[in-house]
Amino acid sequence: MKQKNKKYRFLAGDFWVIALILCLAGGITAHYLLQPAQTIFCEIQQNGVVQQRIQLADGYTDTLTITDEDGHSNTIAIDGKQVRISQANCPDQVCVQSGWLKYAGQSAVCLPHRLIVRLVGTQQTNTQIDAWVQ
Amino acid sequence: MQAKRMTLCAMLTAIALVLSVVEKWIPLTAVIPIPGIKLGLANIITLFALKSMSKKETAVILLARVTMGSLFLGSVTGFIFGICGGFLALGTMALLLRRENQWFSLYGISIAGAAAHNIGQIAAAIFWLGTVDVIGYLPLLLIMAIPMGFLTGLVSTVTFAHLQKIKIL
Repeated sequence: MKQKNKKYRFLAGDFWVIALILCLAGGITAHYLLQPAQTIFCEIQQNGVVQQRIQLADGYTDTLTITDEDGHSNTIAIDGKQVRISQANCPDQVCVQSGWLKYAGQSAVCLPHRLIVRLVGTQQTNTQIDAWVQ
Repeated sequence: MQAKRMTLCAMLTAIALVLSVVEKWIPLTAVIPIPGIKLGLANIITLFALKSMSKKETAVILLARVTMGSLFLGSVTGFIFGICGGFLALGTMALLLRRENQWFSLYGISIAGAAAHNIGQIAAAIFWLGTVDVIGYLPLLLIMAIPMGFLTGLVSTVTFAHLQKIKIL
């Protein structure tokens, strides 16, 4: 019986694995998602090329449809400082289910159409040192 | 012996395929809308094959599973993503299995496998989309890998405890 219980136990290495994953997740979040910015741009990329860059502001609404030569179509809705993909003719609809994007760094991806809608802030240079404390 | 091993490989491939189909029925993306999020049930088969058979046989099972899986229910994109994620998970789990019961239990190994699968998928997405911006999805996927990996680890642990009573090979 004792032997059986031993099988269901966590070992020290397991916690290290979890800690490493959390560190990695936290590190990427801090680096990519938490960018303090006053002005936010909505960037639409297709096949790795930026198609449009729209500055977002309160009260500004717009709907635009991105269509490529293969008939792939995504409709992007802008409502103030939030953006979403409202319609798409892709099979999985994951981009539509992603919902509203509100913060800089967030993105909605449509893999079948190779399309990314992404919010970017003004401060894009992460390499600069903000403050030096000794 | 040769025929028996081959049959076992084919059987494991079939089970993995069924698990991928069953997985599709669970509407996980409706709850967590991240492209590529899944339970990773087929990872149980990879872990099982790694433990009871050779790495080569596991790689063959994985390749057959991903190829047939993307033919049945996926697309070309699904194939690229499955290959990248699957083989990174296989490599990571094979590495950690060397220290099984010393440093890691099956929970940790399958959590690491799930995380590696996600990293492989995102790497494939970076090449597919031509930008590194997709990396923004990785933190959520990685955090989700912990409960998903725990679940598959639990299933593997229970399965192995039962299979030790039967002589399968």
